[in-house]
Amino acid sequence: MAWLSLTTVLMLLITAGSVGYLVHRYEQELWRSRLTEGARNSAASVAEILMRTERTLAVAGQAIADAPDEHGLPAALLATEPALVEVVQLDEEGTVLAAAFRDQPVLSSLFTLSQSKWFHAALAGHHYQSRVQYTFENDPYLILSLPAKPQGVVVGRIHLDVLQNAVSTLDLGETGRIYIVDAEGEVIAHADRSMIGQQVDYVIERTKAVQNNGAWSGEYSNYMGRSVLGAFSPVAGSGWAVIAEVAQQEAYTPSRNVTMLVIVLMLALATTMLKGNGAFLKRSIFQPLIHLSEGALRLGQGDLAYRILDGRNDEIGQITTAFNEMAADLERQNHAVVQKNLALIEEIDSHRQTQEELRVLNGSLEERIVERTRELELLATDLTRSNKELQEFAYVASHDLQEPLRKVRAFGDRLVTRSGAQMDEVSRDYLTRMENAAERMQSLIDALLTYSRVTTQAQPLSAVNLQQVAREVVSDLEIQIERLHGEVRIGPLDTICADPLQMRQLLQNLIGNALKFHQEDVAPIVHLTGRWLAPGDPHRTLNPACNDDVPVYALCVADNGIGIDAQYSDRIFQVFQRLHGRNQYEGTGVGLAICRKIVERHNGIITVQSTPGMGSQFVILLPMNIGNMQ
Amino acid sequence: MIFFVLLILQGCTPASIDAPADASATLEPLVLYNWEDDMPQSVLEAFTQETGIEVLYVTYESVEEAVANLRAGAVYDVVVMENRRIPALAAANLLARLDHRNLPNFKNISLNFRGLIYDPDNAYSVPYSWGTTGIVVRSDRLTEPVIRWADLWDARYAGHVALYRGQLRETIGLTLKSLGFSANTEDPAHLQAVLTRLLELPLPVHLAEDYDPFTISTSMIDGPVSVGMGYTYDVLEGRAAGAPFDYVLPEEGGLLWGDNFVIPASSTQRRQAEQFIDFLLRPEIAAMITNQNHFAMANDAALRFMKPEIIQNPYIYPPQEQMNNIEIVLPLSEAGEQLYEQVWTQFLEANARADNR
Repeated sequence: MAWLSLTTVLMLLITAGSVGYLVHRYEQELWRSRLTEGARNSAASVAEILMRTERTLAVAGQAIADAPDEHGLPAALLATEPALVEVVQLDEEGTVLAAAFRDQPVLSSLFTLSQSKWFHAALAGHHYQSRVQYTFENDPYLILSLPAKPQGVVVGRIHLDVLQNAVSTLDLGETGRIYIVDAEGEVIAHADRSMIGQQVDYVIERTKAVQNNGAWSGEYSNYMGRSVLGAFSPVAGSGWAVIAEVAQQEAYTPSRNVTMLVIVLMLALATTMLKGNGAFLKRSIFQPLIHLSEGALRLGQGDLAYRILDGRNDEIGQITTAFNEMAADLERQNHAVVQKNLALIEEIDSHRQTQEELRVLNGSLEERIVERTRELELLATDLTRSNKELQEFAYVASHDLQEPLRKVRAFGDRLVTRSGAQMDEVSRDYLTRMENAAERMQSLIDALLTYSRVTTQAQPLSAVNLQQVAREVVSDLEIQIERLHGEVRIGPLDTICADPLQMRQLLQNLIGNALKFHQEDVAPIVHLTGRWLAPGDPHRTLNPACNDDVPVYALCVADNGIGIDAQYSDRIFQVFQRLHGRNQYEGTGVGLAICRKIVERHNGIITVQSTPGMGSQFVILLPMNIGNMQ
Repeated sequence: MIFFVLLILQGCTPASIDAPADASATLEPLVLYNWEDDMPQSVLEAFTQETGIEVLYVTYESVEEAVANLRAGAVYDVVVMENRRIPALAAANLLARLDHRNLPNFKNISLNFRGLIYDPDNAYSVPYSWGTTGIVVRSDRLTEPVIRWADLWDARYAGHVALYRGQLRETIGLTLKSLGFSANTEDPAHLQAVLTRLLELPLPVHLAEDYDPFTISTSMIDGPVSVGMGYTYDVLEGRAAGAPFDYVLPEEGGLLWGDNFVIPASSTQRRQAEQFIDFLLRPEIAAMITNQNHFAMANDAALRFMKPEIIQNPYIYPPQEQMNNIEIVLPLSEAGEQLYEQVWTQFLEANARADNR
């Protein structure tokens, strides 16, 4: 008896579980079709609104040709199309021919109208639809523009409240909601207005997918992190999707309740029946229940044509009938899905064909890439040439600037000599300022000339004794060094292959800077060192141009000056970049740019390491035996 | 002293070269590259106070300089850039694409400046300041009011007209508009007409240099010039000096200039740069800037925070009817550039010849 009761209970539970599962699937199917239906209907009505608006605008576009003097048309169109809040007819220059608006003139009052994207798109013959725009008061709107005939443009502004209606009229239970997103995942209509304009990233991919594959439904976690059952439907021609969702919690409540109810009922039934005859039980209860549970399982596995044969009239008979009805319902629904699938498969087939064609096309594309690469190489050659021309230009320009400037200074001097005494104070001040400006311009031009000479007047490379060059530079700077009570310690430095004049200029600029930017009340000490870096030396990696087989010479100029903040360590090497006011330190802001240009001409690099207030050190890495020099 | 020597000796062995200096990569200062005196320090400080991110204000003196430095690979995080330069910079991959999800305040941007053809999706630029190019006059020296660009040809003003030597696009553009053409045309016939027209000016005209934005106003305060191409800030400058200046948007159509925020591709802190731009788009912050620099702002939401004397100043915010037929100067094709150059060179030469006579 104990065995019998255990089997009974087990069997009843299995039956209850199967029925529960079945009901759940049935219910899910129902929700999915309901949500899909809702999304699809909304999508259709939104697409309809867009299409109707576009047709209305097209009428206005045609009318420019038919009745060019009819200025009342936009107003008439506005009255017939509730979605439109503004209609403007424009000629091909962007002049407003006629306009009407519901709230305020927005598009027709734009002074940049003729240079807007929507105007030009329509002028080029396109039907343009903007992304959803928001005014600063968070009013969402859309711009549609079309080419007019024979020329010109028609543009309309659509207030998105009309979309709002399309999403708020559906009843989807308590947690159900329906909203519209654009192709970039932005919510453009939502029953909860505060959601409008929000970005919901997780929909982007699916929104894109449904544009090609049609509506989709399934379970996912939504923007509130809630587990939902939802459906996506594309809005034709816009890239948007309508989404209908309901919380799984709510959607599945009935099936959970039913399952519980069935379990309780069956347990009660079993308890009653167990008191009776075993053989009777087997025939009248177990047998039908086994059928029922078998049926539920087969249905659950997808055999939707399965029906339970039973002609009884009692409670079990009723369950069987209910079961069979449910199965029939499910089969009907499924049939529709199968039909859709078949259509889809055909579509996919045609896609596959397109892909095949694409593959063929790709083949020819590769050829074109090779061709394009060749073109790019040519372009690079061109670029080198134009670069060179540019340098020449800088040289010529600064050369030509010298002449008029000399005149300015000469006449300025003459003016001072001739009538300096008669001038009032203000005039004299103006004149002094002019002379200062001219003088400064002179030094800027000189600096530019020097800068461009790095490439235009380069000498061939030869052996350069850096030790000797450094000594000469120091002797040139002697007066400055003495005045500052400074000290420059050299070497030992090696002989390298380089442009002798440029090396001299390089050291002069670097040592000169080291002296100039000294700390107040601290005598400047500059230290020059250098050494060859063998292949494999980790410091070589600083210069990515270094070939690993070539020795690299590292030259270092260190000082105890004011230093440079790390954030400027790139900028200081650019032309006319100054970190200090002109009054603080003189100079043109070209010195380090020249240094970099010289180093780069030698295929090397120059970097700076510094701590403000603690001094700087400039490190130059020059590879030996440089080829390809210009 | 010994300490320093030691430091130098130690520092100079190449062993110290490879110490990377990026210990705190999180809160590096943002580098803003902009015109001098354009943005009040208080705005930058407010941003720092709110976010802990410092802003370093680096300035340029000409758009050419800014473009050259961007092309040279200089690193900035936010750059104020003239709209005409944006297509070329974007095409050269020098600008970062903006992530508009980080710019919710873009909705404050005036519809007049959204989606214009130099950056149709605002993928690279956020509109900032704008203004017009027109005519500056010394009203006390005029016998009749100047209202049209064509009035510069009036014989009464011979010897008293000033143009900028370097601003050929603006001068040719205004002349094109006065002849009924677009300021961005590349039609050789239109440009031929402009050249003919320019040569009819009572030459020589005074040519102002470009390095100082106030050269025209200076020559009108102290010099003989009474009519010149110029900007609204010339008027503010002239009036500050006590001279009766006036600004006229030519009846035939004026020009519109506009500055934008862009993020260079070289910025390593794009997220913070966007955060900064979005901060600058806040109505009260944008108004703080305009209240100080007196340039119109492409921000509708900021209007209600601006001083009334700014909004009501017709030089800064011209009334709608004066803005008709106004045009933004756009980039030209290479052939177009050459056409404009040719017209300008011939005009300059004719002017120089007249000057030497």
